[in-house]
Order: sequence, then C-alpha cells, then structure tokens
Amino acid sequence: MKLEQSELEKIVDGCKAKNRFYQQKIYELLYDKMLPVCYRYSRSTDEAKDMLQDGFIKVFEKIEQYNTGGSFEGWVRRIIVNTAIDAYRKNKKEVFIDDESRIKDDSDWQDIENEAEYAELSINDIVEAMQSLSPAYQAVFNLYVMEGYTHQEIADELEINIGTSKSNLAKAKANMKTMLTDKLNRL
Amino acid sequence: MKNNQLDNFESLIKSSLEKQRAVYDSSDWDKLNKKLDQVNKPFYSSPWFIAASVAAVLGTVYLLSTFNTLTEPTPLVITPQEYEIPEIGEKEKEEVVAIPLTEEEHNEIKEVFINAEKEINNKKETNRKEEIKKSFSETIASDNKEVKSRNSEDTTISEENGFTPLDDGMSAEENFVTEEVVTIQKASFHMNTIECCEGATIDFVAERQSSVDYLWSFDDGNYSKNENPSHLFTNPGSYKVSLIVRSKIDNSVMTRSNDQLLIVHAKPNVDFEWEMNEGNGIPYTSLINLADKGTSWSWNFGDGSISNEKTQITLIETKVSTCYINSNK
Repeated sequence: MKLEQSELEKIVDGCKAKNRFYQQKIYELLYDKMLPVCYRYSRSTDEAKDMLQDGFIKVFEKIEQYNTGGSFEGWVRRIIVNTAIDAYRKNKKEVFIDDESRIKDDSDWQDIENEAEYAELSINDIVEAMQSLSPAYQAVFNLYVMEGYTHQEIADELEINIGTSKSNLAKAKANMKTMLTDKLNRL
Repeated sequence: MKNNQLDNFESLIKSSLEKQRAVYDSSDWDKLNKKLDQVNKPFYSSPWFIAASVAAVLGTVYLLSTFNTLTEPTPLVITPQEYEIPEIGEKEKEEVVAIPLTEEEHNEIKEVFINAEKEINNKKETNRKEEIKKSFSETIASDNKEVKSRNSEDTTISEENGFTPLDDGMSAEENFVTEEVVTIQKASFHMNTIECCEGATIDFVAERQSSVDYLWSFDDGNYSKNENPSHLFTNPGSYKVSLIVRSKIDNSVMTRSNDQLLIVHAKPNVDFEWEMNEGNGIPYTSLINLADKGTSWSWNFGDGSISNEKTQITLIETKVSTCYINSNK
C-alpha cells in the first residue's frame, strides 16, 4: 500500500465516519494483499472472497479502535486472520491428529536437498497445495509460518494442546512437500 | 510476533506466499457494499426484531389474560444479532520472543513419545506372541529366519539403550506381517556426554551398518551427514539430538533421538578473592571462590599443589605468586 500518511489518515477518518466512499477506498487498496491471506485459509476462491468480505465488515466496525501510530495494513491483516480463525472454529468438525509416532518424516533430507528445486515452483502451485491441505493443517501452518504465532498461541487460539499444534505443523509440512514434489515431477 | 525460527522449507513458502497479489475485481466490492447495507440497517428495522417484538407483545397479553394474579410479566430482553469481534488489542502490543523450548514443552513432547513407545512395545509383544504360535505350527523358510533374527536384535537394542523409537513401530509390524526384507537394521547412536558447557564439542557415534545414509539434527538448526560427527554447541539450553538413517536401497527411514536431553550449561564465571592473614604468628592466605554456576573446581596453586575444594582455601605460605582457576562446568 503506497500512500502518504496524511492520505491514509484522511481515509481512516472517513471510515470512522462510516463513509462508504472511503470504505471502498480501503477495500480497493488492501484487496490485492488481503485476498491472498484468505486464500491460504480457505479451499476455494469463493470461500476466500466470503472470508475477505466478513473480514472487511469487521474492519469497518472496529476502525474506531485503530490508532494512527501502528501499521494500518498490519492491523487489517490481523483482523482478517482472526476472521479466518473464527471461520475455522465455527466449522471445526475435524479432529486434530495427535499421534506423533506415525510421522515417517524424511523432511530434513528434503530441506537440504530439494530446497533449490522448490524455488522453481510458481506461487500458484504453492497456493494450490496450501488450499488442498485440511483446514486444521492450514490453520496451524499459516498461523505459525505466515503470522509468526508461537505454538502456545496457536494452541490457545484453536483450543488444542501444544503437542497437537507441533505435530499438525509437521504433518502440514510433510503434505505440502509431497504435493510440491509431485508438482515438480510433472514440470 | 514473527519471531519463529523457520526452517528452509517454511521460509521458502513464506517468502513465496508473501509475494502473492490478487487482481482487483470490482464486483467483489458490489457484494460487500450490499452486505454493508444490511449490517448498517438500524436494528429495529430488522425482521427478526419486528417478529420478536410482536411475539413479546402477544406473550405479555397472553400472560396477563391467563394469570390475573401475576403482577409483573417476565421482561423479555431482545438484542440485535451481533458480529463476534475478536479481541486484538492485546495481541498487537504483545511481543513474542523466540525461545528454544520450555521445559513444559519438552515434557509434553516427551509424554507423546513415551505413549507412542508404549503403544509400539505393546504391538511388538503381540507380534512376538503371534510369532511363537506361528513357529510351532509352521515350518519357516531359512530366509524368513534371518529377517526375524534381525528384528529381534533391533528390539533389544532399542530397549537397552533407552532411545525412543519414533516410527519403527509400524515398520516392525509390517515386517512381521509381510515379511519384507529389512533394509535398515538400526538407528542407534552414542554420545560422549549428556552435559557440557557452551562452546563444548560433543562427539556422536552412529551404529555402523551398510548401505545407509546418516542425517543428524542437533536441534539447534544444524545438521550433519557424517556417520560420526562432532558438533560444537554454542548456546546454553537443552537439545534433542536426532539421527535419521535412510536406506540407500529403498529409501526407508528410521529415526532415533536422545531420550535424555543434552544439557548445555552457560559458561561459569571464574573469579576469586584472596586475603593475607596471620594466625599464631604464621602468615597465611585465604582464597575465596567467587565462581558461579560451576559444578566442580580445580585449584592449582602454582607450587605443584592442587585442590578440588569449592569454598575457602587456606594456604600457609608467605607468598602466592601466580594463581589459575579452571572450571569444568
């Protein structure tokens, strides 16, 4: 978002006054970065777009609480991520798998040996792989890797225990690697 | 936030996904615009509110007409439907510092491992019984015998050295059922100590076997592919060292990690004070140990005499020319 600070303040003030014109401005400005965030927590484009809309409704409702000092983009992103977590919680039917002994994880090999190869994959391949993860894996992987949550925070947010968060991260990664390796082999 | 130590794969995914941008679609705004219209409508115009109000009025009338003794109707509280908004204020302020692993986390992982091990042992026991039954009823080909002897060897090793088997439970079971040839016999290793100081180099020795590759993870972000690596631990903490053995034949993998964590202590500070005193006309020197965090002490008085005392040391000498203090831990 390239915008003068004064311009941003004007738009934020407009949003605080619930002015629809400025709300649209914010939406347009952040759409290109925030929709991809939703992609990562969803399994289809439609689902991602719904999530984005719900997120922006919250942004407009909570905008009174934003103080001009912090990063506006970061603030919006946090709300969008929280919307994704809420959506996940509401649909939570899936049981997190807790059994660490079954991971046949040769991931460390691939970390070293295939790192260079993964670099050749396109962003779309990675997003596609991400969207085919189960919602539980998506949530843990994204919160840990993309948002920098600690396992403790993930455990609190998703109401699971720390060990589960860790094993789900490992499995999410293993699945991603398998999918990406398949994609690479088809190149 | 954003302080997690990411491995190569995670960093790669993160940096790729961070670059992703969506192309703006104005029809999406139209949809949101409509939703906003609905959200912003005053709550008293909502059909739910109207329905609830009507119900409340009717209910009150009904209650009043039925129970004349009832002095006050039960008040009905009606709230418009609200969006749940997550609390984000706290998280914004909070800064999370990446720490290696707390003791609690370690214990939690350990518990998971212990449970897994129990399960695996139960399976092995069941398999063993089945095997005994089988051996009575069947003539076993010599090839199969070899496979079994290897398996029982593996079991003994894992029980003796106390390492936690991670994923061989399933493969062991499969070996019994399908009688495949075992390509990895063991993933087992030794280390020369389980406690050391930061800056110490620890030697690791893997059990040798043919046609395998070794991969060590030292739990501090470093790896080694040597059979017998030495690794320098530069930061204090506890480390779960793991060894992954991969078969060159079928790429199957076996993992072991040290059950007891490797403890790397912070370097102690070494210091002492000395005082010149006199007792009964004999001059002596008192040495006062100021070292912290140490677990063993070794004094060398420079005249060939040594001591392992921790605290105060009295030297009946008129002169102390040089002093060295070394501390092991």
